[in-house]
Amino acid sequence: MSIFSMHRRQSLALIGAALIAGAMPMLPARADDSVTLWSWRTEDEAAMRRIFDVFEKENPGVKVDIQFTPDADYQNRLSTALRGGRGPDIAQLKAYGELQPFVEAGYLDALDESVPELKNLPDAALGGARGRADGKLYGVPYSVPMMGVFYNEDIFKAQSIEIPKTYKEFVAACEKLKAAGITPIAAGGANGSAWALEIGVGVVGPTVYGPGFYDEMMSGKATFEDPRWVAAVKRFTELKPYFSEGFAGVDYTTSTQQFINGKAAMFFGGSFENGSFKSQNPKLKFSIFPFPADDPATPLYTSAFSDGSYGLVSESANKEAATKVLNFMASAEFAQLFADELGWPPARPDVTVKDPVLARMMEMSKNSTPYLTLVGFRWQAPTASSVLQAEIIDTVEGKIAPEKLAADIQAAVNTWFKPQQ
Amino acid sequence: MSAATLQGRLMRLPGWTALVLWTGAVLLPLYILVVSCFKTTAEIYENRLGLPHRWSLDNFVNAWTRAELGRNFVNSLIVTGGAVVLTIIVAAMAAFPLSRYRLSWNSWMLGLFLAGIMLPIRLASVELFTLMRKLDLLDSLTGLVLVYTAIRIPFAVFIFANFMRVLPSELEEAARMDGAGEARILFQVILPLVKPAISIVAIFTAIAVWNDFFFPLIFIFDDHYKTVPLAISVFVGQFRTDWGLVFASLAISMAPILIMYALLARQIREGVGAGGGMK
Amino acid sequence: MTQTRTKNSLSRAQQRMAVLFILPALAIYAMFVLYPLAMSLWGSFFVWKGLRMLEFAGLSNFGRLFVFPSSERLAGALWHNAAWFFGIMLFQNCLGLLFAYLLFLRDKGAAFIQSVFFFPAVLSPVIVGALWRLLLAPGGIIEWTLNALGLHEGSLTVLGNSATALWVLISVDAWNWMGLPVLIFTAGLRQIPTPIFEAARIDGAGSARMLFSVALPLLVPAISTLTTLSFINTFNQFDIVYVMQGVQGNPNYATDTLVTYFYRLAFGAEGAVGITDIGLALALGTLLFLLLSVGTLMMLRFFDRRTVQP
Repeated sequence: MSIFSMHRRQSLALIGAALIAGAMPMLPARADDSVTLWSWRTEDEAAMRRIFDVFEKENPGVKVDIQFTPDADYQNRLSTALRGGRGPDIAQLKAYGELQPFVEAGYLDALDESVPELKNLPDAALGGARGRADGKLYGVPYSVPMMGVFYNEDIFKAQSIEIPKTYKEFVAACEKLKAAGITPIAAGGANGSAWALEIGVGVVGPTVYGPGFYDEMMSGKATFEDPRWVAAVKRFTELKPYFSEGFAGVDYTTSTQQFINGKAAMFFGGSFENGSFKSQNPKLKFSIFPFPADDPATPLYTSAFSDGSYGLVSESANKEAATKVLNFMASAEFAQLFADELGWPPARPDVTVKDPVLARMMEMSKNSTPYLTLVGFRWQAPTASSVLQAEIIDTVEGKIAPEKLAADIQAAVNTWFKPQQ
Repeated sequence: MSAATLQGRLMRLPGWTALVLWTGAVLLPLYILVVSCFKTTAEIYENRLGLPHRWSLDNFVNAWTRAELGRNFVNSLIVTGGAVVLTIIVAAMAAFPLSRYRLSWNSWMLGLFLAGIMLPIRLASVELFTLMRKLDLLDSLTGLVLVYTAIRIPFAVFIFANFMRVLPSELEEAARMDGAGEARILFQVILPLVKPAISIVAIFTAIAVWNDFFFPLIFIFDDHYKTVPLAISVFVGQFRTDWGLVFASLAISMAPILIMYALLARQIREGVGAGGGMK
Repeated sequence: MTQTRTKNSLSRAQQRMAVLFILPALAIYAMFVLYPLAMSLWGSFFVWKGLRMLEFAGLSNFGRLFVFPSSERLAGALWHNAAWFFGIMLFQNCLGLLFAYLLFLRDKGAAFIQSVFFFPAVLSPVIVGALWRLLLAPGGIIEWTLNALGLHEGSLTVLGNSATALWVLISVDAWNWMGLPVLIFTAGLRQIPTPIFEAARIDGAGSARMLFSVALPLLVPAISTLTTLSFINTFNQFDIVYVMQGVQGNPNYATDTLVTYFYRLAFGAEGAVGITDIGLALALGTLLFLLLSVGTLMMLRFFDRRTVQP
């Protein structure tokens, strides 16, 4: 019998075995200290893997198995799995109101005792991971993103444009870029990506309504129909002439491509864009500045929020190892790795920043106000965000007046929002 | 050429124009799909209509190696194959008495099956999940096969019953005279006569199962059991801005269905019409 | 006497065989479709907190469906589904009938064209959506073509325009499934005995008149199948909206359908992920179920009365 035929027979047997094994109902064989972690950040797969390789090297015996599900389907998968008792050990969780259903249903363990490192995290980060009813912490936050205007340094230099200090200068810069045939601001929210435009409102907003507005809203002194909020939306819509060609039909992905490929000079975005911009075009020279106000003397505030956290699933069979992983994620070491690998502002500020864009962002976030629609009004359906995202394209296109948008949002949140006295 | 035939041809011109226009409307987007697989993202944005600068297989190679589709392909083939075979067998068995026996209860039983065509099963995904967990069918290809079969049974019973109903009754009477059992009548006499129905059920079940990503999404947690659409969706999420890579990975994921369609096109052409028009 | 006895015993044996033959299909179908669906319908009568089912709520979930803010979404989604149904009847089925008739009048190339027309039905919704998004984007091929033909000027933003987005999606759906009516109608036309057409031709009927006064009445079974299928499919519409416009049915809910609204309520929407209202979702599901079953039954009955034997 020739070697060749033996090989063939063996490989056939192997395929057969694989087929049978595949067709049989089988529970996954689980290594004792393997911790499953679910995340929606498919974009960060490589970076996350590198971060946890470091952890695994330091903690022999504990393996972290990270599984990614795209954003749009993640929640569906997580909630079904938790309800059926087949969730991961550690789950990436949204912040604020979007965290509460999981806390209320009792799917998560409070981490105040088991993750002592949490005490070293700032309140801005922890706020998003707190249970509303008991005030306990149900997740280890990983980032406090902020928002600003990303700009292409090469284009600004070539057109001899300085970072604008006032709104007037900003408009003048846009006019100059437009005259030179460059799209001033890459923007778009078509095809279900209107959240990117909500961020645009978050970039422009604080410079118009000021840092104290959030507290006024929360206490019920102000509403969305307040002239200041309406003025913020108006200012965003005034920028329409400088948005991407065919704005209403441009989606988020296309608009990022316009900025990354140097076709557009600016982009309104959150700090989480930093890493992906860099990885998609390493040659792109860009930085970030806060959107300017009318008066150059006004201190500029930026919208900030806790993006989410990693929580411990109550039914986890592997809590000891999972808690070890969570303690790592709350450590300064993780924050450093996170800043280096992803370029987002980490939840802990005690890191050495090497990336100049990140340094700029962390500088900007010293003057921050909560991202109004997310931190304040995403607690119950219909959320302010859902109305804003639905109507914002038509508002920019001039089909819906900013006053009407404001009234619609207020009517929606009135069905559930009770101001804190 | 006589004046009459020339006139006849001219009369047919508007009709041909309409047909050719729609053929173009179908083929042009598909042409774009195919050429986009060979382009870089920048090229897709800049040169949308033209042929790629060079016919490079890089996108395909990249998609195949980076998405590690091998294992997923085996899973998808098992699930799709299993669901198609099981659906055909159980649905044909059920359709046989429902369409050819005179039973007092067969019209409402048929109705019960047909109700499934219009029930949106996604409405029940949470309950279905709880059930699958109780039966220990999560992370199991068998579980997927059973769910897909259950979902496809109504349509398959409908098609088989439609085709079987019009066969002359002498067929099985002759076989019964010869002492053939009912199972033999079904599998050796009736089924060979409804081959177009088998083709239709096979291709429609295969398309629906192969393309579905909803149920693997909620029932499969272990990478080892992931199917192609689930793996592709993660891959597309990861490289969402690399259109060339995305299109190449989608094209790879569609290949088995395209081959199946090419092989069964004639039966489908003839079968769909016959199955749909009859009552 | 003996004859009836053999008939009886045969029918009893047949009864047994019938049960045996139906059982496997029925068992799988009942277990994985009927049981979970029944449980979900049952859930619509309960109060839900987050993901947990609490106490019995009577019809309160249904009541909530008809007051602000759900009422607006419900009315919008219902209208979009209805528009979708009529759009498909017009774009897909009427145009499909025309194509089928044109193919019926021609022998050459009919098979090839049929296979081409049906081909998009094989593609997955993900591909169809990605493809048309690319084609319809500003600066895309459709914009370029329309501008070149002088039919349009500037950027094409039909997908982001709340006045046109729904109709664009309906057209994409029609593009996707055009092959189905073409196949069904050509087969229906071929089943009509040739003498009927010849008699009409001798009477001097043109092609158009033959279609409307001779063929159409005999095509009622095909029309019935297509209308019912289109009704079921359009009121279950989810994939195309999900892939092309997101689960919120952007822009401004212009492409929201009953199932996308259900999905948002049951699983949480983009932009408000995790905030679910399962009670409301299940009530909507029950409503959809009633709408589909009553609608389908009424349609089948309507067409049954109008079926003409050739």
